[in-house]
Amino acid sequence: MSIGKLIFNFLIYPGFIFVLLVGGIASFLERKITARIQWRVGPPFLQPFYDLLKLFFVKETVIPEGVNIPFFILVPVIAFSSAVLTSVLITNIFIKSFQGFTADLIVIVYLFTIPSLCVIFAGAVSKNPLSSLGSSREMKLILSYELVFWTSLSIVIIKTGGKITLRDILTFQENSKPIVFSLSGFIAFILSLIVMQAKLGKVPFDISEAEQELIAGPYIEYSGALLGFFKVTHYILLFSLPAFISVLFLGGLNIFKYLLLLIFIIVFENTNPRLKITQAIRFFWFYLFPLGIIGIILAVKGL
Amino acid sequence: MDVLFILKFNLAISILFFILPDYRKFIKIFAPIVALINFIFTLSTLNLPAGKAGSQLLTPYILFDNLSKLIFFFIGFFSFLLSIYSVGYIKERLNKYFFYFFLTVFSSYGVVLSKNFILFIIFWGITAITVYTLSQFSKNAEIAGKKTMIILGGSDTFLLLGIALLYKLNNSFNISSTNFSLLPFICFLIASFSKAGAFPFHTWIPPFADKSPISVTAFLPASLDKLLGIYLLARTFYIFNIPDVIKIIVMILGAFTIISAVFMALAQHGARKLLSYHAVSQVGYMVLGIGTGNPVGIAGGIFHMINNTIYKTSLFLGVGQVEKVKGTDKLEELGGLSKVLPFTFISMFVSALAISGIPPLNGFYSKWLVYQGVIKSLSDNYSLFTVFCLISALFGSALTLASFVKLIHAIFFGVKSEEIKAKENVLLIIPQIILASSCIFLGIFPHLILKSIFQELKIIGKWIPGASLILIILGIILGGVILLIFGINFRTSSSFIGGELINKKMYISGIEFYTSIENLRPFRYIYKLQKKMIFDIYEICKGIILYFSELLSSLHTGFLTNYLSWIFIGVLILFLVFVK
Repeated sequence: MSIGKLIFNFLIYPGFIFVLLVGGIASFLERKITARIQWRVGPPFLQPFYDLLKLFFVKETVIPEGVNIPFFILVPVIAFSSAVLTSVLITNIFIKSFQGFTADLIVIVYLFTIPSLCVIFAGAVSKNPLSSLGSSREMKLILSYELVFWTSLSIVIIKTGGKITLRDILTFQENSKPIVFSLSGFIAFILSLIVMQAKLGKVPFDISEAEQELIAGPYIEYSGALLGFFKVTHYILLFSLPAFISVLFLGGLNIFKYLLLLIFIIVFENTNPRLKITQAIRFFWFYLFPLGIIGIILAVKGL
Repeated sequence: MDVLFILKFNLAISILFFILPDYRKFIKIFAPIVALINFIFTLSTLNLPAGKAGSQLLTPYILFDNLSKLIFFFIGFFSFLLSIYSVGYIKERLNKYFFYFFLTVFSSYGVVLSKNFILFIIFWGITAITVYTLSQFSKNAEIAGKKTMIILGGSDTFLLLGIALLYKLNNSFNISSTNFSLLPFICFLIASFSKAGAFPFHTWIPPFADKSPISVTAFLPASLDKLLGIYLLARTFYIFNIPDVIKIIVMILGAFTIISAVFMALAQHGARKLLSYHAVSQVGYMVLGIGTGNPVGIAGGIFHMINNTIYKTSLFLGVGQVEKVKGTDKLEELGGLSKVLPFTFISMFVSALAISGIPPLNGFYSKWLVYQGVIKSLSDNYSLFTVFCLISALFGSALTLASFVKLIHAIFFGVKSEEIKAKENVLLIIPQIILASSCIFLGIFPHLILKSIFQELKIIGKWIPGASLILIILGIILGGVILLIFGINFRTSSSFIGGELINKKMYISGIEFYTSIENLRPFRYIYKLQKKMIFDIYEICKGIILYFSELLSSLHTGFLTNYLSWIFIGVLILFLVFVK
């Protein structure tokens, strides 16, 4: 693989610019549909990009007194950078001419934790009690969904007979049927959908931001361009997480599958109230995890 | 130069330190230089072929294959770094300290080099004694030291028993492959588990780490004991041909170690205790990896052992630095040190990310190999248990991350500490920086280690750490450029809550991060039981022994007539037995 190609992949297609566009459009759809559900008009098509332009060009960046300034600045940039890397690793498997730079599902799930981790450290470095509370909630949320996510992914691993690279899983599903069309696969898919909602920090799992109680939690001291990086990260994740789930369970990625998952996210978001953090832990560990165990037993039996 | 020369060299150095009076200024310079020379000697022997490692006479007793070489190298590496740190850390009796220090190095070298079980157990025993003596260099470490001594000594007995049983089978003391037999295997397992600190023989590590000097904790339970214990485990897996059912039992023990210890770590309030529970939980990954019995898993387990010693030592050293400045390791009383101790902060941060398995650091790579080993053994029998081992290992990684978020938050962020004008001690900083940078280095070039023991490794996953790191850095540069172009106009301002300045009492330290988990229904009871030491095999045995000895002591009433009647009854019984 040539370095130039790698950089092109990273920056333009299917990397930064491409994912940002798709994620931005997805964010527009989310806001528009939400607005229609609530009988509002909703934003114009380019609103997510207007937001970004405002944050980067117009707004000034305020840094709280007494924080570790290099760390404060670096955290959102690393979140952004790792999110782009993850989406490149996922989307690269669809580019026929370029097969070299991909990863397996364990690596990708670990990479997906880096943006969340950056949010946690953003809250920690901000020197604000509310942001620290937000960080602790985010960490507990990671703990609760991670168990269920790994349970669901190990069902995929059992189903494919121990394959973990995305390319192999895709080929396996092309040769037989998508994993979701089996009993255990369906259970795993449902679990992954709920985990996806939690990973994106959408209602009912927006516990760490919790605007009404924590005033956006970890982001409370961030403003201007630095907040802009977190926004970009969020747009990117809005594309790459559904894409990942779609590759694993639906046997590939196209616009319909992506829209299906996006609509699920939006509907789920608009029909549920926010949970308390203990409720979320209990929900994941004591309700969804046993369901996952049933799924694993079914998968081992071959169902 | 052969390996025996290095053994002799270390023994001579340790005797020299025993004789030397406590000239602190001289020892301060002399000890690190000797350790450096020793490290260079170690490096120079690594190219020796196995046959030429020692003199002709001793060659049958020397085992110098790739595994031995790897651990040989890392013993030299850690003894060098820790000698620098100890010089800055240990306050008194430095000559005696280095006597035990180099005796430990000597005997650890001996353990990995011996091809004969008798030699092996002699060296192995010396390391157990030096753990005890070194721990006594801090005050009030008697109880912890005693517990350590009893658990390690007891496990040595099992090792001896295992060797005897093996001798009965093979008629030789050679460490070479043999048929599987259960009892010696269990004996070896107990010895390696207690040395490395895996469940259920881990209970000496937390009190030991809490009380003994931090340089000793970093040197022995965090690095050398891990190396030796896992070395024995790996050796055991090499010499025996293990059946599947035993493998799955070892794997389950490993997985259980991971989860149970990390849940304990979540609830700790002292930095040393928190780290010590991680020193236990990480052993679970090594046991799990080696327990899979396939090359990828074993490679992962051994690589994880190396990585764990690197970042765990670094973390302990960081806590030592924090203690030097603030005088305590209680997380409640720390906070806001990220600007006071910048180097400690960076190196502890990197090591914490490495232990939590954040790519592209070294901890991730070895854990990733362990997972692949477990996935590979999915196709064997007992696949259901294997899946649960996999899930608990993966979930344990998230729990590790959680407890380190707590640690980093409580020490370096959190409360605004009062202004302290402390400077980091250079002697304490150098080892930390070297260790933290080797975390990054080994994460990007894992093949340097892996190639040295496993010539070709069939990895089923895909992960290119170098290119990924380049892209992450590229992303950071891109972000920096964007910031420079658009958002350069920074302004600092004090933060407010509800329109008022934040009161000092409102800051959150981080120790209460997971109280909601501790209070969840099943965990509340488990933590309560743990506080009563229900799960501590040492305490259980102690309880049983004390119960029986109290029964017996109740016979000793002190009345002469009672004793006389006992004697009379005894004689009567003897009489009846012999007359028949």
